[in-house]
Amino acid sequence: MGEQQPAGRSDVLVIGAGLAGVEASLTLANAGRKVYLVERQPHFGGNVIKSEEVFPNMECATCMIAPKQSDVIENRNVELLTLTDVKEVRGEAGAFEVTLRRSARYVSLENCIGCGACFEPCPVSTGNGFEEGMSQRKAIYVASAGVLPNAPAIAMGECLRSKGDDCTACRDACMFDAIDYEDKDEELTIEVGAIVVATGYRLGDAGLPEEHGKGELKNMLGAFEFERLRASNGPTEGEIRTRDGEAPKSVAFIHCAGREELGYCSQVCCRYLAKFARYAFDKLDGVEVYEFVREESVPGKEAQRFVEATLKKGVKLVRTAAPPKVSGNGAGVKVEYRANGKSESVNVDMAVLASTIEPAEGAADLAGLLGIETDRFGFFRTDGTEPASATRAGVFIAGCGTGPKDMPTVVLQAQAAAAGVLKLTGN
Amino acid sequence: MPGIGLYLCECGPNIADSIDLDLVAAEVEKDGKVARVERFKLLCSEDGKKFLAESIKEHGYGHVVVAACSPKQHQTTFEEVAAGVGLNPHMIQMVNIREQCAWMTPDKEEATGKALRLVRAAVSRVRYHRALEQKEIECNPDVVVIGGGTAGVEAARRIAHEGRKVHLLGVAGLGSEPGADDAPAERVEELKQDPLAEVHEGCTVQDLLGFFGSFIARVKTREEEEIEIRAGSVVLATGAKPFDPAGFPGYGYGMLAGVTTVGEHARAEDGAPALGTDRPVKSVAVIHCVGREKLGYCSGTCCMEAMGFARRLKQSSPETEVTEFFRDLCLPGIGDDGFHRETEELGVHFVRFRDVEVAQDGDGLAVRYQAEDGSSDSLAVDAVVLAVGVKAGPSNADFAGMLNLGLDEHGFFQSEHPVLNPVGTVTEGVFTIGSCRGPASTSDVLIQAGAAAGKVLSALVPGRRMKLETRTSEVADKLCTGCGLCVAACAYGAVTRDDARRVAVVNEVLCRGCGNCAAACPSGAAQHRQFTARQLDQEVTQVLG
Amino acid sequence: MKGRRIPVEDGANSALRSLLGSLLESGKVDAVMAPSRIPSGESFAWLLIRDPELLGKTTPLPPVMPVQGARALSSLGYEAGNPLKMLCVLRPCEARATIELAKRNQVEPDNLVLLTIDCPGAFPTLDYTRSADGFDRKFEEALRGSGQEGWRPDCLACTAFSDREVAPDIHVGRVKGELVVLARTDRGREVLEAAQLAGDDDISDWRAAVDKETGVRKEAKDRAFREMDERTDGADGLDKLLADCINCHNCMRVCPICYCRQCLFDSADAVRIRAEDYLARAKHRGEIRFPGEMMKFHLGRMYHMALSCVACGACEDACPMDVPVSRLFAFVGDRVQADFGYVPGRDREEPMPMTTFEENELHAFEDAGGAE
Repeated sequence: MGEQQPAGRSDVLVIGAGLAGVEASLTLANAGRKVYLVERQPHFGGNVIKSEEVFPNMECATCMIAPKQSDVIENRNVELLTLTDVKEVRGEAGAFEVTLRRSARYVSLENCIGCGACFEPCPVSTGNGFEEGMSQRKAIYVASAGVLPNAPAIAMGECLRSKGDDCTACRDACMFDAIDYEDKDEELTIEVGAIVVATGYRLGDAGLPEEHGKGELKNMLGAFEFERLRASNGPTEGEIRTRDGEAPKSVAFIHCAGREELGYCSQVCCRYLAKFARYAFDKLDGVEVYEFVREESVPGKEAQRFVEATLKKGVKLVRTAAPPKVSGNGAGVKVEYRANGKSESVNVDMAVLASTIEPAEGAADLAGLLGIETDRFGFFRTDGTEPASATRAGVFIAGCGTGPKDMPTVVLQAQAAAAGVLKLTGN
Repeated sequence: MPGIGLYLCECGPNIADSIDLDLVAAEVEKDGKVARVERFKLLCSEDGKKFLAESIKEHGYGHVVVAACSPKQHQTTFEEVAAGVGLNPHMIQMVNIREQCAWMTPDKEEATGKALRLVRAAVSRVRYHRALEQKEIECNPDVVVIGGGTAGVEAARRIAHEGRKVHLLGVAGLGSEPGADDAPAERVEELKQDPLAEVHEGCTVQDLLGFFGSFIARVKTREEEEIEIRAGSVVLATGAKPFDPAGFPGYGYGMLAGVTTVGEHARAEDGAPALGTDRPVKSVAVIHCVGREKLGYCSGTCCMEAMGFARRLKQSSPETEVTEFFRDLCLPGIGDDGFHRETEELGVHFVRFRDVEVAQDGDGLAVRYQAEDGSSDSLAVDAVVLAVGVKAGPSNADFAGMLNLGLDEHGFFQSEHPVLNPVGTVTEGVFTIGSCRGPASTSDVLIQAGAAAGKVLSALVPGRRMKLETRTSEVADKLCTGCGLCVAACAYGAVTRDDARRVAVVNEVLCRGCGNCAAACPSGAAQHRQFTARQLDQEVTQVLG
Repeated sequence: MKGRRIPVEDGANSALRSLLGSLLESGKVDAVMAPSRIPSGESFAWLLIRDPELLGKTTPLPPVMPVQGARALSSLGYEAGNPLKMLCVLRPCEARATIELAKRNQVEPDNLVLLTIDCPGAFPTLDYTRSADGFDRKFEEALRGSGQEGWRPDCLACTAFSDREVAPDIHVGRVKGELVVLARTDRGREVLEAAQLAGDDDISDWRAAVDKETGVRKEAKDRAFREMDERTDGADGLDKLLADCINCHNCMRVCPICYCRQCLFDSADAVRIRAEDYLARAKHRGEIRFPGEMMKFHLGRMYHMALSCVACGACEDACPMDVPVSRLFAFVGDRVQADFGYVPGRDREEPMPMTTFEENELHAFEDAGGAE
């Protein structure tokens, strides 16, 4: 401010179409800017669409975000490019030239109406990453019912065609001529004045035993696994079940599992573990719920009440100095801990460990491409007193790319990033 | 008289295979209300849209019903087709016979029966649609920011730009402690030098009137002059105040010598802070979570502030024993765990408590506490420093009254939506940032200031006229008795009572088209333009068969 | 609480007339609104009297209630504001309805002094006009303390007949041989003091009598509501109850709470079924009864006003077909009011449920499994 920045090009590139990317794009689009919203997945919505309900009002996450998603699709100023990522960035603030790499979807977005007739005939089945491997999907797939755009993609690496087989099962089943095996990856170059990085986070496994979810530790879950169990469009249609298909009679939620290892607090876990406790009480009659807590970190005007109200439902709160040790014990999970100077243990049917918020996959590479710095944890570094600006002029950041934060802060940072863009590239 | 055209989309086999469209067409034709029924394989395709456009034009329909998929999918598509051939987009009614009929049941008869009812309902309703015109108004791109602390100054900095002016009102007597939340002096100077910003210090806001695009702030300056500032948007950054521990005997504040708050030392120079006692200070206790129980929330910033103070103290006098008493440690920032570790390495002790009390102990003080395991213990110290939480400032209620804003149970400004629009409020164009909307760290404040700037810069573009929502409500003067039920029902302050004419009036700029007023009105004076009593009655009558 | 005891020598109405005279002469009010026997015919109308000499024409507590007092007041107080300070002599149900209308800006309460009187009940207006003398005698007996026949059905079950469920400025209780005058607001006290009618007499016998009578009425009310509950049970309960209705809308016209300039259900535009729809349905089903808006009218009116229904019975009194509409609406009103803990007319400051939203309401609903 004060300095005369060159007005530069007014178009904007937003990398990542999760909560932050969607908010930044819409704010910019409403200001009249053309936005290229790039998303590497075949669908958009990021991690927020994985949740059933979200704090503080236990609102349905997908319902909450749906109008924003509709807006993205309908907004004339937003060009949503799925299955796309960034290959190269040249130029400078006000005048960037970016080469994007678009992977082939093999399905025409114009012709496909999302009827889903192509799934059934596909002979290839594999674990569904969106569902944390708890259900299967086909080589031609949508991540989950209700994702947008409502059109599948073919994971060509899994498809029989990539192995030399001339399988045409999906194309034969399609009545809208929407499947095109000749689709190719392509590159396109765009010119923009500013870039907003909204690549989000990876829910990490720090603190989770490597074999969790399998074998002896099959009923030890990370956060997204539990979330997907509760999701009404998830692998169990919203019923919380152990791997053996039973309703657990006891569930333990373990805080701060990976905190020491990582060296920072993931900030949102105390709240979402309280949310999980509510899920358990809602769906499982008479369930015993344990929360193993080091600190109750509940900043902000709603969090404490939320957690207190949850505890009142009958949570057995155990405060421990160090995170408990969890191990398999046959069907369930054994939780060993030290409290009040004594060693104790409890057996539960299911244990959920707070997953950590860590930099997204490929963050370091992207930082290199964009010429921006990362901090010692791998998150993008922000510029001093500009929390939505990266360390390079013209590049802004929104969302958990800069570190763990809750959803309202993600939205706010996205709006702040948009402010940065609008100010830089003329209004 | 232009008639009604009905279009049935087959959606490939999706609808055609699950619904007997011939039956639907035949029955509706017999009803005699539509001019013509036509089918098409895929209306949303390029061919389909072309067909629709030409057909509407050829037959000169005044109203159109499209029975197809979900309006969420293609309402906009078909509205644009209509607009393209000169038919007002509001004269189209879409019926969802795919998701709501074909995809709901394998029973063809059931699906067809429901589809028929829904189509009949749409046909009956669409006759009463009116060609709503979109209005535009001039809007003032300037912005008023109220509050000269960090939040206000940072917001003003980010908003000031070519084509718009930002007025920063530093308001006398607002909640925060003097000095506690001041923006760095250089920032304020910068703003004062900026030709696009006007800074008024020490003024009083007497009234805020108007609405988004057209606000008027009536302000009394420090020199007692009364001025009017016009702006398109208002940003409230009126701060908060620290929780006052006086009156809580357990802390000894204001009662025992040697008890101070962290905030009092916020701008202490390097060197030993004045800890409220003449005795030599060899040990200090810093107590966290002061006020947390009473307030009902964790202020989120005090742990870091307390540790910051402890570190400064330890660095200025390393021999002093410093112990931090806390209930929970709130360390959300990415570097906070590291900060805590370093603080421990400096020799600061950390003790968790369930309950804590400060008492006189001979000439000094004692911190009596109940530890996590239930045991009671006590630590003798020379001074106690309290890390207090943050409380809503008293001016919030005044501004809430002026601008029809909501306050939550703690007295902080309420967000329009806690996740999707945290700095927005139910009053369009009014934003709240910083601690006036809840406890906020410096990082939070900067992000919120940026967010408000983003919202404002996006919504109020200099030279751009504001397009108003078309599907709003209206009040018929002739039927209105001025009872005010609609005024109370409106969450957005969009309906007011004209006391002279004793009728309710809807402000089209603020109206979001929710229809609450129409629902509350017993006489039908208040109606939603696209959901009139007549339209709804027709729709429901047909759906019930 | 204390009041002023006034002996009744020549019947309650005579004592009331004197009382009104004193109040008008106090100078604190400019006019009195009170019922009066009409010069020809057998009924009563509202008078607005400024000359104390003419108070002799009034019957402050008449045997019938042809025009609900609140309805009369709303026609007076609506357009131009009320420059006169008026003393309004009302039955408790009329005052309650007045307060409900004030909450809706249909009556200007500022210049009104509401005076309520313990009500023994009222007779059906039509019955009365056919045999006025007989009913006049019955009424006199009732005012003296005996006689319970011939009342309107709602009156028998009315527990709001005294000052327990209303917020007037002045209340006049009736106990054997005496009137008991008490101030219920500061404004009321001011008027009574100026008229030298403020008092410190013990009125506990009156209170006890009211309690006792309230108990009797409560039992009758419970019985009446149980009956309504049974009669409206099942798919065609309501149909049967309303079977004789000819949709004349009289009930709405006389209802004090129905203040709309034009009732939605009189509107040709809003809800009237069109010829083509009748014909289509007749074709579809083989036959159809018409005109068909009667049920919609009653249910719609219920939705609009039941929260403020004071069970005054004006509606049933006006019904040419003896449909038990007041008993139906009182029953429904009682239930919905209980859901919100709201008693219409009891408290001028109590906000109407329709226009208040408390966040915990939603949670209470959710916790009760309402959301499922």
